[in-house]
Amino acid sequence: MQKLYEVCKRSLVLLLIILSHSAFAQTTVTGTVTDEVGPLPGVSVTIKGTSTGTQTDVAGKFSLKVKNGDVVKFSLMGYATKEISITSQSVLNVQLAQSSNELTGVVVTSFGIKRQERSLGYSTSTITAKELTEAGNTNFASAMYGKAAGVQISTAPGGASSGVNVQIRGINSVNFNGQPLYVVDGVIIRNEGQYGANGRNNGGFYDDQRIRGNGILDINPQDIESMSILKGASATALYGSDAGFGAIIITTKKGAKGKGPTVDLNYYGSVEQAAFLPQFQNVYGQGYDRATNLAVGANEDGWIADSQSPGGFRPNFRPYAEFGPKMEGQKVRWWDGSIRSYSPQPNNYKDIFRTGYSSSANVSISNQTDNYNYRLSASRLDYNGIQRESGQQKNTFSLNSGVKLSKSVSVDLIANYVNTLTHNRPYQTNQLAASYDGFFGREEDMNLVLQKFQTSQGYAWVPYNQTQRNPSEAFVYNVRPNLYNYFWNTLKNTADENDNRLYTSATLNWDVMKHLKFRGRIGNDFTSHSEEDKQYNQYAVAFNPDNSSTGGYQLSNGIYSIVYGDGLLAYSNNIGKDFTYSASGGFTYRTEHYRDQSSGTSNGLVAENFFSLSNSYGILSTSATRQALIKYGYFGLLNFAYKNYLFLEGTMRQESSSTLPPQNNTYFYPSVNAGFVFTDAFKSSMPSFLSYGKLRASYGVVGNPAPIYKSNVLYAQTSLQSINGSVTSLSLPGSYGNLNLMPEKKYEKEFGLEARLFNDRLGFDVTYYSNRVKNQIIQLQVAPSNGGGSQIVNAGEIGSQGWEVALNATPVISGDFKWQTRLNFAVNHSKLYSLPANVPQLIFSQSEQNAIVVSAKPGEDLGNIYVNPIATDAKGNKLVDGTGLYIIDNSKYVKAGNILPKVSGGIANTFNYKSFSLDVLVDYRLGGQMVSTPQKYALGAGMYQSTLKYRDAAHGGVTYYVNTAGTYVQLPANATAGPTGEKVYHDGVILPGATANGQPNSTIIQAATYYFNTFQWGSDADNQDGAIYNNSYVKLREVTLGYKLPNKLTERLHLYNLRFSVFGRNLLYFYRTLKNLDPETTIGSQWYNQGVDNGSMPATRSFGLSLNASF
Amino acid sequence: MMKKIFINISLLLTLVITFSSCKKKLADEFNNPELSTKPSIPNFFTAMLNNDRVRPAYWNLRTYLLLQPAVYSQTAAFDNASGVYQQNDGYTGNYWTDFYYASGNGSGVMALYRSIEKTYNGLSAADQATQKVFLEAAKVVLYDQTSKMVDAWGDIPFSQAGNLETNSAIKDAAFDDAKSIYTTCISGLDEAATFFGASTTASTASFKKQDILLQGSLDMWRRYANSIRLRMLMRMSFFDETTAKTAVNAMLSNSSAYPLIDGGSVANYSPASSDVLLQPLTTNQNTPLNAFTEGSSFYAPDYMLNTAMLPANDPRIPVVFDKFGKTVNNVFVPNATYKAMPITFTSDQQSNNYTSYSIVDSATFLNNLKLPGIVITAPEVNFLKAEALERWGSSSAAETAYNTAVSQSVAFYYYLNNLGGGKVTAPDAPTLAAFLNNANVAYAGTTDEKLAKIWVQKWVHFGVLQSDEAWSEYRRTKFPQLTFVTQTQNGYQLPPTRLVYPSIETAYNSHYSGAVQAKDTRTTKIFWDVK
Repeated sequence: MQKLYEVCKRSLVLLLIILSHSAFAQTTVTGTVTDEVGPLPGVSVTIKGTSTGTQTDVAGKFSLKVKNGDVVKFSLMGYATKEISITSQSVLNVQLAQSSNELTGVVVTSFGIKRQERSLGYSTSTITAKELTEAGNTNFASAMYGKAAGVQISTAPGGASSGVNVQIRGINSVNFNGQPLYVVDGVIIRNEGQYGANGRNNGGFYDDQRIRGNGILDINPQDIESMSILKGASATALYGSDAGFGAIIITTKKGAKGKGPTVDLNYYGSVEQAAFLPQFQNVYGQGYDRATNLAVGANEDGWIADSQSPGGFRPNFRPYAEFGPKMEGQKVRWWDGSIRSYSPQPNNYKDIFRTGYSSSANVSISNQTDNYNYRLSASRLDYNGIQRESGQQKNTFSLNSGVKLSKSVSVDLIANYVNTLTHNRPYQTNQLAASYDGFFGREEDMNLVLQKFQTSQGYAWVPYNQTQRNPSEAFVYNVRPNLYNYFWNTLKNTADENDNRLYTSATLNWDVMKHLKFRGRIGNDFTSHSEEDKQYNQYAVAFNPDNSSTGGYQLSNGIYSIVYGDGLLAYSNNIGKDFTYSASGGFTYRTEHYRDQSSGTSNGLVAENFFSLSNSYGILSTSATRQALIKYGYFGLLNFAYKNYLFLEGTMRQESSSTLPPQNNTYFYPSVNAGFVFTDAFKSSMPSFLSYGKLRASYGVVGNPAPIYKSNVLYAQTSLQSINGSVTSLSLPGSYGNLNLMPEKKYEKEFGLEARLFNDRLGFDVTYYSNRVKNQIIQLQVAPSNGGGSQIVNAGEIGSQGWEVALNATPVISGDFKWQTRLNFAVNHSKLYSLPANVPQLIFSQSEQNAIVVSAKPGEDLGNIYVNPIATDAKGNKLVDGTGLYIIDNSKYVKAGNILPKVSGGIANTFNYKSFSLDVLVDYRLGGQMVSTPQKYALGAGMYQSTLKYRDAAHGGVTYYVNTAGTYVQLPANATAGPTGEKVYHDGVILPGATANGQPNSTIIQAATYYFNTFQWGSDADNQDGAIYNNSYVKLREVTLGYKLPNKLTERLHLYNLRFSVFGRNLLYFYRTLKNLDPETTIGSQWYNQGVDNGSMPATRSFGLSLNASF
Repeated sequence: MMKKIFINISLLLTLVITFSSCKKKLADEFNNPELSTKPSIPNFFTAMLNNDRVRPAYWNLRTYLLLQPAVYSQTAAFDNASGVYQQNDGYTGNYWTDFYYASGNGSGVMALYRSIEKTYNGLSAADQATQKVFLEAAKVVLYDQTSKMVDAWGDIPFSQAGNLETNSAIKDAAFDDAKSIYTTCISGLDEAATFFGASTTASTASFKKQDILLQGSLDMWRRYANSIRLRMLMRMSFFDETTAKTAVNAMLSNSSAYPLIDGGSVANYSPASSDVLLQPLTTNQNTPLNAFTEGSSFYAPDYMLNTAMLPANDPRIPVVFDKFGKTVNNVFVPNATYKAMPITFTSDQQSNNYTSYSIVDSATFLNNLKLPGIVITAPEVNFLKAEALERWGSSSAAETAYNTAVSQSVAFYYYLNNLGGGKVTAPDAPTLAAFLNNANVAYAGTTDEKLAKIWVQKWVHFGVLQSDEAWSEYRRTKFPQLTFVTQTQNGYQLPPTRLVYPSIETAYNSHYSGAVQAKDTRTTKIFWDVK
């Protein structure tokens, strides 16, 4: 009783003090909160340490009762929180600075758990909505270039419908796709699951030629509020195996508090063009070296005698090489029979494509009250890329709502519906670049090809040897077919896809009791995909051979579904005033189902161009696949904090996956991390310029199961319709399973230091990480004589280590001018540490009859390129054979580079002057090489400017004549005839090197002979110089110039925040080592395919404008 | 408060129980529902026989036979281009791979044989007895296909191959010496033939159903094994004449113990019932048309038509070739005579003049939906007999075998033509007799001249469909005496004497470097190539 009295007395005294204090000094302070461009609505204005507060209205104004000594705190997502002590002000005009990274203070981590950034013991990067949308990217992933340290982006060419790869911290899986986990509003969503373990576009020449997309393209950048990137094992430990390659956590926009409902409008429009194209020569037309020209029936120069051609000669349109006659406007008979000028067409490669455009409009309505909030948004994207006759339309509707049911219970409901129509997905140029049959002459005029790839009756072009199909329009000469087929396939044939995707989540938040919270969530991601392919009849059915027709029709359907659920119970409390802790436990469960079915005609269409399965010439072909998996896990999390400057966290997770053999399908792993804000711990002894400093350390383990069905040992059963009737046959799959497969485990440690200096004008974040992946799961390619093409095994150990540095600074604030800069770079080094005894090396990619391999032996870096070199003698001279050409040593490999970059990153600058803003983003990758066999073939075919070298005296060609023995004999450069009047040539070359007897090489060969043989297809070529290129670049990725109209001007129109901007993407390279290829044209989802070019599509440059406004 | 906690705990418990039941579901979802879990010897055996590397399927013709063996043996025409003698690494790699495991076009005889072997070894003695017939037949198929691999490449991974099927683990197989592989196959085929000939062996209903090659006929399996053995012995007969001679004479002198695929030595025999032919599936819809026409392979080959067949007034010409012609004003005007373009034509001449020359027959080849895969035929066996008899026995017996072989080849091509719906009437007896007496065909002259006749006629018989055998016999015998145009591409001026190993094997097989690699050139000769 005595005690109670004491408490009451003390409380009363305290109350009196407070009351009296308020009574004496409370005043009202008013003001406007702005950012660099104008008023900020919805800013939370609170008195620190109390629950008293308000929000700014649409005009950024607020009013609040305060007293002297109060600290008023201004906070808004995406801006640095500002605190101002009240002395005697009555007006508080505050400008908030936008923050890109650490300054916001709150980070969404695994399972949507929000954490103070300062408490984390591992590195994360956040990217703001503004950074993702300002340059008008059609998807958020390609907007991430250069914006987060250690996150490497590669967008497949082809535009809005093409997939984007995101690679975090180097290579975590040597075989499988290695893409991060995408979590939208707490729910794991589908990215590429439907492609199975093989991924997309990894198959090369005979694979699907259309450039496929991935699931993240469906996430509308306009709906994203914030994004955090969790990189290391400790950061992603709670997600476990799903996030073995990092996790990207996306939170979508919610209704914001304002003056009632707010409508936002955004529009982006842009045009794009093929850019960064090869540097072609424009002097010589189709033809070979002299000897080959003669062998194919032309004259030495490559002309073919033809009485129907004006000069009595016509070009040979068949050669794949460009060592033919000089193109000087001669009138000649063309492959279509017309008379045309034999002139170069410098832009003919570019002319295959068109100018594309993209238009994206988004409107949203949102509101927030005390009991509910909502945001409804609708978007429309119209995209027509540079590929003729291709395009995509996307409609996105999203609802993000929250309802407070009671003081302790609230429910969030989020639903997104995306409808995508894709017409003629862009087609790779693979069969033009990687096949001699796809090579076309420098004189080829694409306008003519556009007219002639189909006949006037709408059938395919008629080759010279099928004239009966259309005698008047048939080609009169033999040509290389792939170019005309490419036009037919892309312009006449159609492939229409229709995707309907619905991804939703429902979350229940329940404050069970003081300190104890429960959150339950269910979500789904459902897609129905359908595709209809129409291939038109290539010629009238009257010309069909006996047992087939042309054309075709195919219908495919896919149903992809993910159902996701998690539950989290969290208890948090404190022990004394310095020590707080929380303990959480949860579970997560997910099933994925992928069903695909496809039916098509075979052997053509019976009736011409009637597209129906009932019109199949042969027996219909049909196939169906089902894939299903289940994953679930239990996890626990313990947090301790001491005085809000020392933090410790431990996690554990036990997870189960149906993709592993039953005896190995459950596994466990822990992680631990710590953060120490030393500037708070040693406040008194810190220098005054250091406002914030933190040290981080973490260690984590993540297990990773096998891809779906890959470890099965099963047989494919088929019913053969044989002469014995229907007979069962049982065959073995080419990739052999493994019933002893275990999960692989990644062990990662990470240390970091972050600091802010000089009043937060300068900040940096440095991270070092080092990981090992043990029992690496590899689809190990083996020699076919093993009885299979590959086996899935736990083979050895790989690891990466690296540095990530992010710097942000505000170098200038002067009056109305402000310059902010953010710089990041990452250095990563991935290595193969060990392999089992029966596996000498891992080979990721091999080409040119094995003359080029990307492989690794234990102790070597991942991504090394090895190549058969030119043979050398003991003194190191290159060896030249009797014909004057280099000898290739096919018994030896030399290291010719590594496909991975040494350093990558970006520099972003924002300049503000009054209402103008300018954002400039530069990104770069330095070091590393690319394997590009198409460039070797093009060199051998004399396509590039660089191959003009030696072709005449002006380009360094040696002068010579051919003597009666057929030997080339050198003459002075000014000679006009040989000793006995022989013809003089100026296109000789003497390759530097030595002959077998040690003498310097003196054999003259024709320049064409040199290129044609030295860079021919296969292993007997100089693959090192022809197919391996340094790949470094510094690119001006995005420039955005924006102007925000003053609200005073627009208020009468009931418009706020009217902003107008122009932007450019992929504008230019400040520096690039690849001259005849864009560094970003590689496709495929596997990491090594990012370093191996097979000819995909040109890159683009785009310009656009955008308009944003609120009502 | 307590109640709430209790509710929460029971909620959690419910969830835990729910997820425990997942454990079983987890194991259920492990296997791909589209695949079967049960190995079966009869079903493996059928898969092994159903081989599109034996049939003239598109990929096999287009990418293997017509680009490599048919060019090197001139059994088909080709575009006179600078790289024409360079083997295509990817395509030859496909062929190689299809032998070891099913990678799309072949059945993967090695992997299936190892699976049969492994399953067989796990059976009880009683079950083994009923399944042995599958094992032995599978062995014949394996050895037959193995000999083709050796003839193309020489040493190949053989005795240790297929470790994935045998031990579920990766272990690179060493390259076995080509000669030792021949020895293994020759004695293994003998054992198999003996097994099929034994009175205790009986064909079962299952074997009859699953055997889509010979419908379970043990007699035919016996003949098949003996005939392949004869082919292999003759192939190595210049390398090791003693062994070949002894074994071949033993076979030929005792035809009841060594029955062969010889069509009963009847001239007008029935290929359908006498030869080993792999019939297409009844659902087959693909003709060889595209395989021939996508390249320039449908032109008639020079030596075959102009030198071997036309001067002999060969009765096979109307079913093997078509005169072809030009379309003038929408009317097709056939050429007056059969004629092939000279091999020396440049590619420009070829493309300008091909309509004036003959092409391969459309009913027999181009549009033939029922064209079987040719495993071994009576004419070939009789040619082999003729050679053996000429060299080691009676020349007159050799003549009989030779005349039978030539006549049977005529019957064979008319059979193929009929399958394709061709309506050409078979030559009557006087025409056939005149053909056999034509100076270009008649069995006369010195031993060398007679052998040359056997070899040239056998080459004609093989034609494009058996161009792999034609190339092997060309390399062994150096007949017919073909002319090859020298091409300009450095290092590939002339055809090779063997295929170089495909990179798909050499990149990964740790046994490749060293001795194997040193021999891996396109001019190395297969051990039997000693003439």
